[in-house]
Amino acid sequence: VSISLTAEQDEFVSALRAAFAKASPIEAVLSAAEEPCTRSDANSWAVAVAMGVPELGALADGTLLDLALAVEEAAYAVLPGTVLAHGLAVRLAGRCSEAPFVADLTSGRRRASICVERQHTMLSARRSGDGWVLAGSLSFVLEGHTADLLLVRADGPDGPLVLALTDLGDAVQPVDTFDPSRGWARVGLDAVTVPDSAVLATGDVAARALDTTLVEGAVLVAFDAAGSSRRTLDDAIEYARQREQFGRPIGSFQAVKHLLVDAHVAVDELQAASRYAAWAVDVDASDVGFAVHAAKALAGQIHPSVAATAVQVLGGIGFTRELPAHLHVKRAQVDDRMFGSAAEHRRGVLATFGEVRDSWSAAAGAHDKGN
Amino acid sequence: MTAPTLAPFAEPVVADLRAELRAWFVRELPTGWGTAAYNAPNDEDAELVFLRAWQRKLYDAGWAGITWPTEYGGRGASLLHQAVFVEERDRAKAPLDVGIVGTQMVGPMLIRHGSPEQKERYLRRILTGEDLWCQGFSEPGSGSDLASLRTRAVPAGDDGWLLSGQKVWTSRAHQADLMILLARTESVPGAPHRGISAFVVPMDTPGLTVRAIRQVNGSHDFCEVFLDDAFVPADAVVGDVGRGWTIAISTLSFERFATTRAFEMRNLVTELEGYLDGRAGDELARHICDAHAAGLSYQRMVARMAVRGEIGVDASVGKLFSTELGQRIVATAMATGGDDVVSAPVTTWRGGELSWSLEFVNSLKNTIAAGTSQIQRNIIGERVLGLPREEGPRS
Repeated sequence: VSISLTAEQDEFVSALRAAFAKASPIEAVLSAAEEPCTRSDANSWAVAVAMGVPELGALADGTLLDLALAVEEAAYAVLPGTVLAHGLAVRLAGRCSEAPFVADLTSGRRRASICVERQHTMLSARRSGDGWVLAGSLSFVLEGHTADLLLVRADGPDGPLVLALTDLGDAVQPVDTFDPSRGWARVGLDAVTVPDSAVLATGDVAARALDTTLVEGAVLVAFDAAGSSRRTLDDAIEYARQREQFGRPIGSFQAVKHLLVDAHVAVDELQAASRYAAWAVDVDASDVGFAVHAAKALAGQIHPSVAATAVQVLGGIGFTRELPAHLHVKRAQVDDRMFGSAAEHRRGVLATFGEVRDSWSAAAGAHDKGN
Repeated sequence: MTAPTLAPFAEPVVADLRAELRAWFVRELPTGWGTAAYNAPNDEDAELVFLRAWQRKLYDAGWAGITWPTEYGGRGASLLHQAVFVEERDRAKAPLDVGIVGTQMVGPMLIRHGSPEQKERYLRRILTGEDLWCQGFSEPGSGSDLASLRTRAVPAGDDGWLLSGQKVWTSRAHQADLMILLARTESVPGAPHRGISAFVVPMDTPGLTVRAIRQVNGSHDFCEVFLDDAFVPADAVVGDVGRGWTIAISTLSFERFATTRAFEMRNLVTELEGYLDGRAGDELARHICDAHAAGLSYQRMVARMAVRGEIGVDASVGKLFSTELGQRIVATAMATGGDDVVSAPVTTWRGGELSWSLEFVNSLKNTIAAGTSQIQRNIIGERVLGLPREEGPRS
């Protein structure tokens, strides 16, 4: 089973690429990256809203693949993580309850982000009167400083809860990270009280919704990796066509050309694997667990390697902040820390290999006519 | 967006085809196939008899020439169907076509470039296994730089051509009935790709001799072919005289497509999993991911080709990636295996049973045959990525 896009999806991807490039040209990306904690991505968000991107997270009529394609294009444009964080949050909200704010999220009137990974949510909630008192903090919230609403995991008295937090004010503090193309926030929530209506899900519903979100997050980050890898590779290819040494374009030299080809082949594999994973989630394919682990494992292996190849091909200028190559190098390292590292997902690949083994290889003796 | 996802390999019609093929292979492969219990033919002649009979079986069942027009004995189906066949064939560890040069390269090329008479004369006999073809392209001085070839075709009146020269690495030439041969009909200084013509040459043509070469994998189906004023009639030319380079490129792109080993890699890595029995887990997982991606990338390429209606340069991507992956998989087996991987001689014919020593030596061949990995990288770099050619001397 493979994944090819419909003509409509192809058109959507092309339109997004053009629109994002116009709303956020690379010069703007570079200058924003100098102030990652305070920059605004209002331009690109407005374009995303105009293109219907916030609706893609709606479970009723959006597929994970459609959302993921938008994430890939956002990464290609080196945009912050808003499309990913918002889309994932909308999908999580859709799995919880009829939250009154969902319409505001799908219309793009309000922006959401998400923090559900256990290692980033040292957060607990206990009942107090008609509401809840929180304790702990969220250590890395993607684009938390521009979000109007955070969907977060907390440990409740009877298992995990999904909470919707708003109006957090100074509790949200930008974090200086290694990843200047995106904004990250830390949220301190000690002694914060929230009303009962902030609890979107409890018990099995919450646990299942959070598990699903971890899977979908891994897929979306694999698309982020594919988009970022493709972009920095395209930039390096373009440079290798133009830049001359010894009187010739450096891309004519096989030593350079073959580096770029290997990166191209790797990105092609990553894109095929990530699209398949999104499709497998959408149709709940029998090998969905394997497909997601494989996509994220490939992402964590290929993204850093391709980003480094681009720097190598660019040479000295690739090690400056005048070009965006460094943004991809850094984004790759952080992507590998989101929703499971490549090493963790490789263990998952081994654990779920049984989902595909029989379709890959007939068992020995399978041709013995049943005797 | 509510657009349905197009996943051509998940269509119900493909699932039906897959189930049909899976049952067919179970029914038709010999008992014990793929295990040590299989009583394999014990010499090369017996192997050839088995493989020709297997080809006939494929033809009779409609699995030979899946994309070929029905008028020439094909199934008239799409490339998607062909790809599913390859996937299931490799899953079952069934034999590759004995006449792969005919079924996968010359046949598709003739369908495209051959005259009506040539199609009528050759195509069906390729599918039935009656005619085995070999490919007379490479020469001692012309390997990767194929356009420098020096075999000459001199007009013999109006009736035909006299061919002289030497070909090498001509797989199965000693068993073949016919050869597709590239020869120079004209020397165009500074334009080596021009003045080449493609000929159909019967292997029993007087003046043509074959010498087998012993290979690393124990087989000797690699041959040298010597042409000493071998006569072929005028209608042996495929396409236009002097335009053989187009024929060569077309044939080679079909070859790259046919030598993509994505699904063999799935099979091989599954064998590796069993062989490692828990060892080298992280390395194994990397190979599994790569085999998974190689299969998907192949299917994506086929879906693109099915839309486009032809094989393109993207076939190089699958060929390059899957053959290099094969080397990585085998390297893990060799590095972690015990004495068993080196304690038996390399034997070439095992009836679907895996031998790491044979896989090891063959993995070295696969990155050379059908265009080396380095040539594939040049093709991808120049024709997919749009990078400039490397300037250098031209012979």
